[in-house]
Amino acid sequence: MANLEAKSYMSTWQLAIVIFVTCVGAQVMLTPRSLITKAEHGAGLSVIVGGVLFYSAVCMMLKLAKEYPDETFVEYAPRLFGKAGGSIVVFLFNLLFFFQVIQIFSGVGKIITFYMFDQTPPEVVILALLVVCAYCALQDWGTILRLQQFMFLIAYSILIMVWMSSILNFQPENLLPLWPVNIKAVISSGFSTWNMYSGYECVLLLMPLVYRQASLNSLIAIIGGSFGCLTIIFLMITVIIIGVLTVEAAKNLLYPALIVIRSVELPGTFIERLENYLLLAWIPVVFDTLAAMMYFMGEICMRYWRHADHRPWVLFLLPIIYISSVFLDNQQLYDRVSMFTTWIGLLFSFGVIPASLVLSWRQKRKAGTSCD
Amino acid sequence: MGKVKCRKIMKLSADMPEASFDQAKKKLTELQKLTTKSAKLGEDIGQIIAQMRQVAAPSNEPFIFTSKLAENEKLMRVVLRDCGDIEFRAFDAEGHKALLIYLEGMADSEHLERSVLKPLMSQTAPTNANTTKLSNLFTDMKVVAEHILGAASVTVLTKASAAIDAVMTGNAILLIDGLNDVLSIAVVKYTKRNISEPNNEYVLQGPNEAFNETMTDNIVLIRRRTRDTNLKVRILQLGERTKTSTAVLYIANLVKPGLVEEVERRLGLIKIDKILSSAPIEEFLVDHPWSPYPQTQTTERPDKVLAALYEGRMSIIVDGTPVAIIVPCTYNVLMQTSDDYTIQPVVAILVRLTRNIAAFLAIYLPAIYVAVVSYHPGMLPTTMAISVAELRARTPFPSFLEAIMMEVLLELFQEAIVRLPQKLAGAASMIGAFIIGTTVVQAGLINPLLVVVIATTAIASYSMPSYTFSMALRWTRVPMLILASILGLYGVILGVLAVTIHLCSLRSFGESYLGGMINFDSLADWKDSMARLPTTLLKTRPKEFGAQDQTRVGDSDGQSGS
Repeated sequence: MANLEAKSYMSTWQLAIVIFVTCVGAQVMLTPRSLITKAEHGAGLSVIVGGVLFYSAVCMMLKLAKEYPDETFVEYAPRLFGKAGGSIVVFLFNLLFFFQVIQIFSGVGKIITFYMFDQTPPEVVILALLVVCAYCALQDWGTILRLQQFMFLIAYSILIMVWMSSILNFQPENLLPLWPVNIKAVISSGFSTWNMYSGYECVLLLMPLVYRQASLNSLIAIIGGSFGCLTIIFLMITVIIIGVLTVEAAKNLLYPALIVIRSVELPGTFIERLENYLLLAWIPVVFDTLAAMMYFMGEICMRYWRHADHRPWVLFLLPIIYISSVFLDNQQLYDRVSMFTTWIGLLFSFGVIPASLVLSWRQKRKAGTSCD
Repeated sequence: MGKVKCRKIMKLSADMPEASFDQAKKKLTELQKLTTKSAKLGEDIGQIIAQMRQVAAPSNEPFIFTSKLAENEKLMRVVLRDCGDIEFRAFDAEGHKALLIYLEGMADSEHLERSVLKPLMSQTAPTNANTTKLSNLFTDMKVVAEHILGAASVTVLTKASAAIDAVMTGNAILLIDGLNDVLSIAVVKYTKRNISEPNNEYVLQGPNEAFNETMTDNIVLIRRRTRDTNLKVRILQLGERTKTSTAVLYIANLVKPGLVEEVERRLGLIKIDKILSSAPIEEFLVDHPWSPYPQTQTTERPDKVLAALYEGRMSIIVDGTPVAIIVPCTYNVLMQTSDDYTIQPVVAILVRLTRNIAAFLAIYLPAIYVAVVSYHPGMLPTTMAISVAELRARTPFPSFLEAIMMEVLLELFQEAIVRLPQKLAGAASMIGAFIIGTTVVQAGLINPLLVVVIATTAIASYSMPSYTFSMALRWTRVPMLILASILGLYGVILGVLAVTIHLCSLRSFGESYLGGMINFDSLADWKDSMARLPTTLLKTRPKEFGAQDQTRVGDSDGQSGS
């Protein structure tokens, strides 16, 4: 049919929403414990440090993507790093999404089983979510983009609204002492907040849809806004957890965010078991992240092997994702994989991307010199 | 020994008179006559076939007209054989043999008499300054049409297929000896329903004219509401055998580029015998025929069609169907009614919000009930949880089964009420209400809370402006119930997500079914989708339909728009 849908592009605002939606995923419930354990009272500061760090990584990615406006990272990485190097880098890029996806599935499986269905095995919970996410990832990007905007407005507003009810139990004295904090721990924890902010790597795949719409400066500014919102949300979650539970209590709980909301009692209302409401609002948020990441994985494979359709790749990856998620049932193994993923993420953001930028400039300078 | 007496041999005709020689001779003569007759008939048929073969008719034409009226008549009679309702009226027009062919009952015979037969047969035809004698005019069909006939719409046809189509449509064709083309005279007049009020889209304030089954009347209803020359009407014939007239309407300088071509391409792909209503056309037009959700909008209101055309959309009107199809179609347009524009904007906003909530309830409310009662009773306030437990203790079935039973009952009553004559439908609904509301609960089969839930769901689905959309909501309810019974609220949320993905993935001529509802690129469309701002603020057309001219007042070529 004639291409009636002239929507093979995204606006910068839509890109900002995609980054926001992809970054805010399961980790809002899963990560706070490890962060508070490391940074203690400085956890809030770590979130801000993390925000600044990963925003700078995104700026580098935007700059790099602007150098290759019509291509994704998968296409230009082999030209920068050579065939073998490029393949390794692309593999690393895909591995990032893969590890995040299996961790999220595993975490969601545990939380849902723990709080909603104590008799149901996590495998069933994971499988059900996987089917829905796969259905979404099998669609075209236009559909996923629309869905993300839909969820951004509805699911996030509900999530924030339910979460804000925990302010009723907030005790400011639990945040003390505000100072002094362990600066070293704060900064190192700032790096470990990568788990929270991860997902921004998608700009490397989506920039060809956006670059003609805006200048680099406006992109940096708008995505800065997106990172600002992310930081505020993560900060709000971390601070409220400490404010309600204290650092010591939060350290000893597997999912402190849910305990915080569970302790809330709304006076004079008929609403009870608020953690169930929070989980219900959280599932679409998690789904958003998972579906987008699964689509990105399929897209990377499709572009790398120069296929025309990402769907066979999504279907191919499904059993691998499911089996890997199910095998992550051991908490120690989960923590190890989480740490490994963080390191890969940091290596990619602060190693591969700056190196790509340098190589790209060098190649362009060389090309300019040879022309002279 | 006595003599044996032989019986005298008698003629066969003595016993059987019909076997007599005379009789046989008579029968033989009859047979000879029959054989001669059939041989003559065979010769005639052979001649006709030979004549048909002689004229080099193209492969898609049954024959071509010659200048001999007798031959043309013969050929027409062959094509229209065994059609008892076809009238062949031969007459003499100023010394020229002429023939009028029309369908009895579909052509206006009085009109024919007045504007065709009288002028041709009498000597009082209007005189022309350049003509001295009437017979001089019979040299060209065009001249006949221009100088003799008094009919308003006359077309000269050269092709036999067009002439046959004209007759079958209800027009009359005129053949004159010596001329090898024919005249089609528009004299269609048949029994049809008058313009009445809409059955399903009645508005409290505002126009209440609705389409009838005649395409031309329906086009007139739209034309009468605008004097815009950019409103274009293209007539196609669909159905290999029925050749049903189908009109495609659009505003030339507004419609999204490529949309007209795409609609016509899809219509052109329809290769079926018969088109008796617009429903099969809808199925050919949509991208996902297996989806329960309607991907084309149907309306019986001409004002609604015109409003859609001025948004850059297109309409299809099928002869014989009292509804028009509008494409593209999205969730937003299905949730709008004409009444929204006749009430105060703030009230309209509330009504639209209510309708959206109703759509949600119509799908998910029973599922939420089953999930909460079966898996998460702790989410209910304690007092309510206790009373629900008490009520449920009186019924023997699990909540899922109860809900399914209620759904089946509801569907049964709905189907019965739709099928029954109007006078009995009231009685049936009374019985339904009595049985569902009282007896089923008293019998301890169903929990009264579930009755409330299902009744609310039914009312919510009735509040949908589109019947087909309401049916889709009913359809979706069952898988949601199953999900709720297996995975509780987790299943319901997954179901919500799956339905949302499906609705976002549906495309109606390139437009996302649900995606346009919350699209940050076209948030301005909210002014007349989720909300309904005052008309003074509705200055631009919906972005999602891609109208060429986004401004509602005036248009690019200086003509006044909507």
